[in-house]
Amino acid sequence: MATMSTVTEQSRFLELFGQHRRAIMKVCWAYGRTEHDRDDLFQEIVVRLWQAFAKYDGIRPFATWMYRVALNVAIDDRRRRARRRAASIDDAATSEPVAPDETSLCDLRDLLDSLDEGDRAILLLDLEGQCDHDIGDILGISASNVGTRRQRLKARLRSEEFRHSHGEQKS
Amino acid sequence: MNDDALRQQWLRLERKLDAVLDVQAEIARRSILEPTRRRLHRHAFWPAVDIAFGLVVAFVAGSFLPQSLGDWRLIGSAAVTMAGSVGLIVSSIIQLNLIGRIDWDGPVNPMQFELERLKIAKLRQLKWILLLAPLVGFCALIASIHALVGWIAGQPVNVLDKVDSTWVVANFAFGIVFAIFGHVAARWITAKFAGQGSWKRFLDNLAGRSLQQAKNDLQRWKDMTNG
Repeated sequence: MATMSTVTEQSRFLELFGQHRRAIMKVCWAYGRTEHDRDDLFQEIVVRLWQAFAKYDGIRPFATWMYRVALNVAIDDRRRRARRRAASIDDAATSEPVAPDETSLCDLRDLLDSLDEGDRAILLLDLEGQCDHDIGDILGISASNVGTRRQRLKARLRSEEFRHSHGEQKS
Repeated sequence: MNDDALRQQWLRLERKLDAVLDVQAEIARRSILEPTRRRLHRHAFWPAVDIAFGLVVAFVAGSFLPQSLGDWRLIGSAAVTMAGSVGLIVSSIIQLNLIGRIDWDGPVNPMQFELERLKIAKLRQLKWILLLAPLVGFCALIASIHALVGWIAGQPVNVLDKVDSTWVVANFAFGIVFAIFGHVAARWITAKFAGQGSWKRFLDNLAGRSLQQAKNDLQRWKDMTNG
């Protein structure tokens, strides 16, 4: 009986996961620096989602719940990797070269890398078409706070000052 | 980069991801079907090891105390070792308590706030382990050699009788001075010589720089709540 219920849960999870896996991959892309990081992160997120799935009550949309887990894991993973990279003398030597099909996404990559974890999450969720209320629910801050931060972020992206400093960072 | 250009690149990313969706779906299927893959308690592993280690050391040092009565060097060594292990146990319990509050499907901001607090607790513990290492390490060495020689001889043997007390006092004094001024020395060294890799990380931990950085990160999450 328990096995049957586990199989049902697995099927239900895989079905919901299948509908949202693209969003998870975008979270991995936004937070993982290399292809290897992203693959690792993807697996980590999937395992966490599955382990937390028993607690998913279905009251809030699956996407909201999934973004919470995915972003929490992704930010924690980045924190951990940053610590390891800081300790690695051969960091530059071990970092992967940009794949040819990634060159067209370099600006986006650089932009995401230049933001702190909170702003990166807001930008990612904004690009995913989430409204302020949902972003607030995912991040655990008020919708008005999201609105303010989103406006500030966009103003920063538009400003010449940001483009200039961003250019300096790149060089 | 303007808003339209940003969205265009985001759409391009979606098209790029299409190519790997099937592969990742298979990874997901395997990940949830393989019950051996468990990384849930990654954060809890080292605090648990520290508690076990601290308990063993506290037990050994505690059982050593009655044998050392009458010699201040042995009592001091056992007491410092015991205090160090109790400190390790307490700080690890604090970490486990913070780990217990981690809720992966909770809102991102409060959850990351808790993770930063955990990181600060770990860094604070590490900083004090490094600062106290010469003092506690020396005391633990004395206690363990004394216990080992006594165990081999089958009766209590005071190994410190063969040692000059000045040497013991000098080591105690160095341990105390390092605990008090070690972080100042680490700051001075990093200011004079820009280190790299693990050495830099070690000095940053010792000087409290990593701790300060973590406090800044914690403040950033706090600011996000306040808007």
